[in-house]
Amino acid sequence: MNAVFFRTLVTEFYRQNSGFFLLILLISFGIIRSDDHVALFRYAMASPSTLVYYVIPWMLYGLKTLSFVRSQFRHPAYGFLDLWRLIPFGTRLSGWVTMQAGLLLPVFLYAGWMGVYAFPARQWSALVLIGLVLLGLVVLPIPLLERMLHQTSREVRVRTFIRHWPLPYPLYFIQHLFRRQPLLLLLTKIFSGLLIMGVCLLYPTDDYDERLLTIGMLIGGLTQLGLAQEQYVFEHEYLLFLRNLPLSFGKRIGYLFVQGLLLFIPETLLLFRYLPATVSWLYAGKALFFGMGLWLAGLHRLYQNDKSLENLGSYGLWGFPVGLLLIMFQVDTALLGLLLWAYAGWVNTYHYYRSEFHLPQ
Amino acid sequence: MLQVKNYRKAYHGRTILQVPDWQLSPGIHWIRGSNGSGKSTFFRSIAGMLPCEGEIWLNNQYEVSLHAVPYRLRVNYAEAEPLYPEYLSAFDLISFVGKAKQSPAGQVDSLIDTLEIREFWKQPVGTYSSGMLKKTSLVLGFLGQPELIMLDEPLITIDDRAVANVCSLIATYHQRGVSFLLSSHQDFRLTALALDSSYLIQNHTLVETPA
Repeated sequence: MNAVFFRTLVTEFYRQNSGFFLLILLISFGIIRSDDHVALFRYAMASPSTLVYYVIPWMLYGLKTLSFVRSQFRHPAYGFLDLWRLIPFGTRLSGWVTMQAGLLLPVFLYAGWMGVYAFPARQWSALVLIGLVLLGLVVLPIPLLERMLHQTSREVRVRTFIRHWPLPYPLYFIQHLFRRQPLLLLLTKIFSGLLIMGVCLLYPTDDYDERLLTIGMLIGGLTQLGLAQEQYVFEHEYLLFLRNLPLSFGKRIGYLFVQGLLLFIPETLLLFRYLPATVSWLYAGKALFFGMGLWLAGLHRLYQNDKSLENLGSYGLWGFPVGLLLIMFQVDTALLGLLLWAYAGWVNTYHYYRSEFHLPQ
Repeated sequence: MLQVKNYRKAYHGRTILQVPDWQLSPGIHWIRGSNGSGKSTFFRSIAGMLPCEGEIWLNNQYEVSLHAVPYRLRVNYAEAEPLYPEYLSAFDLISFVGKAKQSPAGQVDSLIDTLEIREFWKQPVGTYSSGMLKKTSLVLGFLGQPELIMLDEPLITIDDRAVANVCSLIATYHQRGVSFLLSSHQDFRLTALALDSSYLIQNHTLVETPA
């Protein structure tokens, strides 16, 4: 059981997130040199209060792993994981700890690297703090995991509002996100929301032009690729019948457009709330069209070829410099958005009904 | 009514099913095969849910890839083991699929009464038993004005009364000119349904057997 548990939760986590790790590695060690890492964390350990900048991403990563474990336990295909509750508590506890250690391995490795420099420098307070954080990251989720284990088959909440009207199709995936992947939704929206807010607030502080907003939207839009990935898997696992429906191109794109508008509500609200006075609403509209285009193009890349599923994160990696280059060369934001939507339209016309979800070999 | 040419479906390079040429006349047809032989894969390909090599024509007029929308308006499929989002209700699913399949007025009411799902159809799918889920999938399979309905294991997990209701529904639709492709491990010859032909999937291909 231990081996199955580890394979289903830990190995599968790394397999599904290989693109994410590639992206993190390339950003962390491609842009920042290892010497800079050392200099930065040595400074942080000398003044432990600044370690908070390390602890926050570690905690976010911890939330990501927790969200993954939760979704695996709730997935119908992994119903056998419920049997884990029949294992004696002591064995189960050691299983949880092993699993947590496995999932948090990247954090342990980085913290270990920091420790190599902290020991000779006798930075005991920093070492203790890091140790406590790591311990907390491993131990604190265990009560939550135990609670989740005993609630895997809890009764589904009945929709209390407008029960006598059918749920419109564009809300199927939004509901899925709220019920099955709330952390993914929350983290994505927090990141892209903060980014858009930051860009808007930064705008009046210097002699920036509108391209700064487009760059913000480029990064914000690329973070939505995780949602595109989730949507693809959701459609092919739970809505198989979709490919048997006689939905015209207009209807399919129309549904996606409504879904996009709903998904981008937080970004839209923040953009218009903090929009700098010198930037027109038309430009903000173009930026949103571009941001939605990134999400839509990501989804359609998967329709075109589902082998991209694990590589979607790496698209963000080359998508960023390419997008940045085009923006810096003053290619119109609306044109960039149009190109992305045109790509989605082309794939939707020729590949939508050929889309197939292959289980890994 | 259905013509399959040079059909081949493979997963990870391994051929699951190969059908060089198959003509299906109107009627009720039964496809058998052992577990994993490729029955559901074949049905899903015909339903346009699974891409495959080859051509699949309906009435020599609509091809599954070339005429995606009119083809799917005329070919329906009900899953053997349906999986739907737990928070949706049969009401949500039937309303959406019914609209897409251009279900005529009164059809939904008639189907939910025949398959006796009215009592629970506004409850979330996550609260359903496998039989309730199966009935929901069967209702979806009958929606619209199809010319061909494929029912994958239609008699599993439902009670005797529901089995009789499904058989009578098949007979009624057949009288209206709808053809059926059924897959089942149960012997349809023991039901009141008059089968026109029977096929067996064996050695990765389809062979006709005595009905």
